[in-house]
Amino acid sequence: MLSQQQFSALSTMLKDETAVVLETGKEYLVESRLTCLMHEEGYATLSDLIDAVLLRANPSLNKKVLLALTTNETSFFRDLGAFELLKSKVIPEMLQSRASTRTLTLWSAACSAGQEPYSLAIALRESFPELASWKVKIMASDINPNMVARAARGVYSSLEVNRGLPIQLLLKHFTQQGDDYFVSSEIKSMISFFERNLIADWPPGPVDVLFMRNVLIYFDTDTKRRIFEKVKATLAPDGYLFLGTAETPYRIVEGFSKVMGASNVYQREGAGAQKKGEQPLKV
Amino acid sequence: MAKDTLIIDDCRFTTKVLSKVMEELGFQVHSARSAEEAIAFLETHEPPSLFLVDWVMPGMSGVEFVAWLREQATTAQAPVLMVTGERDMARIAEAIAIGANEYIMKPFSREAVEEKLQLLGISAGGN
Ligand SMILES: C[S@@+](CC[C@H](N)C(=O)[O-])C[C@H]1O[C@@H](n2cnc3c(N)ncnc32)[C@H](O)[C@@H]1O
Repeated sequence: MLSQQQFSALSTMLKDETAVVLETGKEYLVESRLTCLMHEEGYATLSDLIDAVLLRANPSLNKKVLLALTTNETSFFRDLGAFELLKSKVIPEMLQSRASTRTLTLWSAACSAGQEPYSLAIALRESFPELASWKVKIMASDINPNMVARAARGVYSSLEVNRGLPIQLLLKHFTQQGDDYFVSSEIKSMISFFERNLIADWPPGPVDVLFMRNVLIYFDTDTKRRIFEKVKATLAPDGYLFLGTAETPYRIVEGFSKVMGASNVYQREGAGAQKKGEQPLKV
Repeated sequence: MAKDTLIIDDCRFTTKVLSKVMEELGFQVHSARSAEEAIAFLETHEPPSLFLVDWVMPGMSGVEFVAWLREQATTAQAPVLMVTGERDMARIAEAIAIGANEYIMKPFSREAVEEKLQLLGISAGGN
């Protein structure tokens, strides 16, 4: 068992370095996620492990602990409606508005093991063959270097390809070796992977389509506000922000409007939506 | 009206797990232990809104059953989700070519089933 002091010191450390907030009551989460690591690292009790972490004696141990405490749950084409909107509205619009420069930039900003950026790349390849002659940049990043490395490898288990990936797309864009399914090099080559903490520096914009899903939920309101301000600085004026189903700028920042008909897609206020005669919801 | 599904699997454990998931999603669940039993079921029942079909079973195989479904006027277009232990992509491609609409490899999670239903555009409620 870990003490209340240990728990709160650990959550402060986690928040300082990743912005992820561990609420009180989540002690069980700490225990379930750190028990394996405790054995691997040769500590007799969880309490010993956490003491070592709080002493900051071993930076690599600290990093492992922090990463074990963040959630990496993901799947292919997660929240299918978002990908449908991408195909029916967002990309068709971009094909027109960017026709003169023929450049398009997408960013999966908390990509976990890579299912999200690969879903984006596959969706573009499947539905918009004309983009082959464009300069399309898909960036994929995560704070967790292990996740970035996994994403860049593009190798998945049957359990992972079971999750949300249409079977026809598995057959078309993956190859198999034993129990592993490998993303084709063609799809892989569309994406650049890198490590990035969302509370630190952002890549230079403008980003046309920003997928930042299921990561803000772990942050407190102040951090969310800071991140939304970074979104404003980075998103193209008519760009689209895709959030997770439980995430919203509502009551956190002004200046975003929700795209009608979609679960959780936003634009900067005054962008594209109105000119097409639609009524965006002001939040 | 709630939708229904027919699970065709010789493994009781899978049938049990899958039934529970489908019931929780609001489906009325029927089950058959073999393709032959499923064919007999279809003689006395309307086709279900969704077939969940295993591959390797004693007697007629799941893929043979799917081929049979595709030849019947009433089930030529019926949604078929295969749920099987076969994980070889070349074999999976065969099942799809014969007419399965979607595919889950065992072992599977509840979320995998939900996501495949979404891909098929099937939900228990309404239409
Ligand atoms: C639940 S996953 C979401 C994956 C994917 N976007 C999706 O929606 O399926 C959350 C990811 O956010 C990452 N993460 C947590 N804090 C972060 C931070 N401060 N900067 C960047 N990524 C972070 C975690 O490492 C994890 O991979």
